[in-house]
Amino acid sequence: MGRYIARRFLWTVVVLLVLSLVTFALEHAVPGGPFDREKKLPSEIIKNLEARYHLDEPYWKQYLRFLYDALIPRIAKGEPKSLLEESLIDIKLWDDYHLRWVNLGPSYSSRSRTVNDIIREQLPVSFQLGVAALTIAVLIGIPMGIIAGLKQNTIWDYLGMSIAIFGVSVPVIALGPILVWIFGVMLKWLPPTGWGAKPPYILFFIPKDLSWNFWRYVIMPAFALGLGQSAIIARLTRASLLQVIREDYIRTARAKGLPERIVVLRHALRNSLIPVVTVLGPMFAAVVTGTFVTEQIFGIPGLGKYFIVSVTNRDYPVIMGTILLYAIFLVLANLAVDITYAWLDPRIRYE
Amino acid sequence: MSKKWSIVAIVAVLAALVVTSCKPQVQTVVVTVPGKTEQVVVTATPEPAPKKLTDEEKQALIDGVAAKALDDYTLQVTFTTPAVYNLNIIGMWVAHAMPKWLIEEKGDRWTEAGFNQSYGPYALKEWVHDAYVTIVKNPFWPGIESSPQASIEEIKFTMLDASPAFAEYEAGNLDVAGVPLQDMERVKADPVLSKELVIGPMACTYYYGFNTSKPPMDNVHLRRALSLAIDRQGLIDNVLKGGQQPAQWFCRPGMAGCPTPEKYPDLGVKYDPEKARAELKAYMDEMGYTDVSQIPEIILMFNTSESHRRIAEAISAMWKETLGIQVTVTNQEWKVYLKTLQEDSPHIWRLGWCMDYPDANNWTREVFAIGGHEENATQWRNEEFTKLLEQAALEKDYNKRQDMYAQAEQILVWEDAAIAPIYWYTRVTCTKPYVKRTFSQHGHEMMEKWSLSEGNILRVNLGPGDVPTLDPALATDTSSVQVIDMLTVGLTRLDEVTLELLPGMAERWEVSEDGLTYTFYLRQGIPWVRWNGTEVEQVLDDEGNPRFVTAHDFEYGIKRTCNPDTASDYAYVLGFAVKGCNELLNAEGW
Repeated sequence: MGRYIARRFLWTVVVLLVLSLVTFALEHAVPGGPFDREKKLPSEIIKNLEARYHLDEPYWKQYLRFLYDALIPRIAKGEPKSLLEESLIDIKLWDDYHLRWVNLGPSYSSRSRTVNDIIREQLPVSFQLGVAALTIAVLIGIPMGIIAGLKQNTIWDYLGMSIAIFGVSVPVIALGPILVWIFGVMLKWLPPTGWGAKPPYILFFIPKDLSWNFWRYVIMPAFALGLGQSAIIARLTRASLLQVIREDYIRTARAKGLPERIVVLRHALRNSLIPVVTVLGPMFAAVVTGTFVTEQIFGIPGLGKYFIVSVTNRDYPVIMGTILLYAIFLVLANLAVDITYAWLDPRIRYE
Repeated sequence: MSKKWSIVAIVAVLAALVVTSCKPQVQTVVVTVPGKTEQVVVTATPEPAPKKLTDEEKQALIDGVAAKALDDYTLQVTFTTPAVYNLNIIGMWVAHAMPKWLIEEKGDRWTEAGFNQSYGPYALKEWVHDAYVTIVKNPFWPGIESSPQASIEEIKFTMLDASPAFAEYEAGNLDVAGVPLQDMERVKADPVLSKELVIGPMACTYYYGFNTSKPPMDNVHLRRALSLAIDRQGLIDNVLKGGQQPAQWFCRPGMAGCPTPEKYPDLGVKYDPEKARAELKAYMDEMGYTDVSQIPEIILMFNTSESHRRIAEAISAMWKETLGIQVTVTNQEWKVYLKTLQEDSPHIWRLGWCMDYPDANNWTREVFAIGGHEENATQWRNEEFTKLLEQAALEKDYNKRQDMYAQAEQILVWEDAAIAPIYWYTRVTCTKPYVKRTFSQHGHEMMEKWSLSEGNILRVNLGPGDVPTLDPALATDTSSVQVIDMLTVGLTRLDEVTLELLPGMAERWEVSEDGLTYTFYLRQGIPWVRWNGTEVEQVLDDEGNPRFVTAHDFEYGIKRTCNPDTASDYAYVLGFAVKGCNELLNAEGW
């Protein structure tokens, strides 16, 4: 298992390299540059800006420069002289020396922030929202799917699947404003927009204040986002459970005299979860790195907006940073899924 | 098998990158020789790169910017022309005082909360990116006529999209919010909200420009016909619904020097289907066409957006109905669109222009005169028009000046019909009844003049997206300028309602004989302040003495904006006015 995980990590590096290459080629192939403005900038200033951000160098040099900044750790003395030298990981060594690693570059749209700042300050918010939404999705989806599966073709089945269809069909862009209107504006129980935490965070993700003041902002957006995902999980759980329940070993377990609860929870559920876990991997990556629509409707300062706005602004470092971040989350989530397979089904073995 | 193919793919992409990045040694230039019908291909070597400037040369250029602190409280500025709007420009945020010691210490991060220093009616308390900005009253600001001491203790600016912001307003969590288009009808009909609704002017114009060199748009009769056939009021009533004003010309009334519909009711162009058809007939007679279908294809382009699409479709329907002409409507993504306009603009293109400073010079001249922003897009170069505007910039008599701009507008939208102005923007906002406020004519509010009858925090929505910057030298958009103008004050300051020019940080000034050199006498004893975590405190220098705003800070600010290293988007406005700034901005080999 250990060798398997090591091999997977090596492949991850290759995947990320290829992805960065393709992203780089695409972002420079698209016409228009970051400094094209409605009110034309003087040509000397554009030349200066391009020199400052190394956009006037040949493409291969720009790409290698990006790789060098992002991958190679550096030892330097003192504080960084400019924002262009700031890094995600900054460990103070002896004297005044620092070990600096992972510099994803500046943001062309904001002079006082780098890509690292954007990720540091806004990824935690998206992560918090995403984890909350997925928790709701799993807590609603799996029980609903189990009940619907066990009581197939009864009222519980029809009710559960109707809710699932509703959840899948009503997108966040419709459900969100409805929730805001009912609970935020009319009843005034929950705040319509905003987020209850702000940087700095503990351990990169955990907000300092975990009281009701934080959770009241989480409830509506997490629910709006989670309901749609729970529908997918419910349907998958139900379908998979229906298949597993008819297997021979379940009949054996019943014949042995085990109570129905043990048969379902210990034997049937573990095996029926494999398709669900498969889907949870990419779902986790997608939801945790930021969802544009949910964050816009609820005014949440997450990372989702940057995926889209960076492309319209031709903000190359942010584009690269967000895409690589998503890729890393996706790859790690898939790895976790594969390891979970081995736990769920002992027949699956990796070498 | 699949591994091999992925390696092939990687090598192919790498090769493509290497090939495309190789720069050609020799440039081929296609030259059209007058008299010959074909084009001649000439190979030319590229120009050698300009020689890099030495540090002394750079310093000489910086010193050449004619803004000098004669002593701590006297600033002397020399302008390029004795233009009427010089005082306007020198009061803009790009020429505000900037804290040299802080910028040198913190670099680009100096604007962030925790170290931001300012001196105006408010100070920066908190800036959570993409979420909100909070500013707090500065008790050390003494209050001047144009910018009194603040009454509201704290202001929180949120960064929400229009719809969530209005939901917050209705929930009682925001005190001022813009009304989204889809809620317009509901708000107008609601008994409570309709009383809180105000439709005020916004200093922007929406227009369609013509590429006057591309047939069939190279004929002035056709351009006039299209412009006359737009039912502007109908568009506003049925599509826009925001109480906008139909635009008869380009420059927005209310800007200094701009004609107003009250004084010039028949100036420019209005909806007139009969006249439109007459112009169309004149065009067809000239070209020898007997039928509308003989007119070559016309492309109307806009930048991708739902609202622009609806306007374009409505207007093309109007053209079809009144003139029988069917144009092809197409759109492009914003950055691609901007490039297209500059390199090969379509027959008809859509743009808006918003004010930088409230003077007609910023509108008609900066956009459409020779050398203006949209010269390439219109391909229209009119010497008489440009000369008229250059003279109007210097004309001191207000009525004569307005006449000259009226004349210029007539050339722009009627005689040459280079553009078809469509509407003048409005701002539709709802304000809670416990906010006593003014309504600004120039794009951002002076909230130090507002007061609350309940509570002591004012909550306002700025607009979607983070405030791009709080650095005065770099700010271009309304959100940034809104906050910056409350943190710092310029040499002069406009009254936001009357647009009258008032003294700001400069108490008074003297003008030289030739009208080019101004000597500004600054107010004394206004300290630099910052938020220290619990309250606003004065900034101290190394010896422990409080730092006051001096003429040196203004000199530093102006020179910093003109410096190519700062790469300021708006420096060109200072370059227009202050002597030496343009040379610094465009210095070759910097």
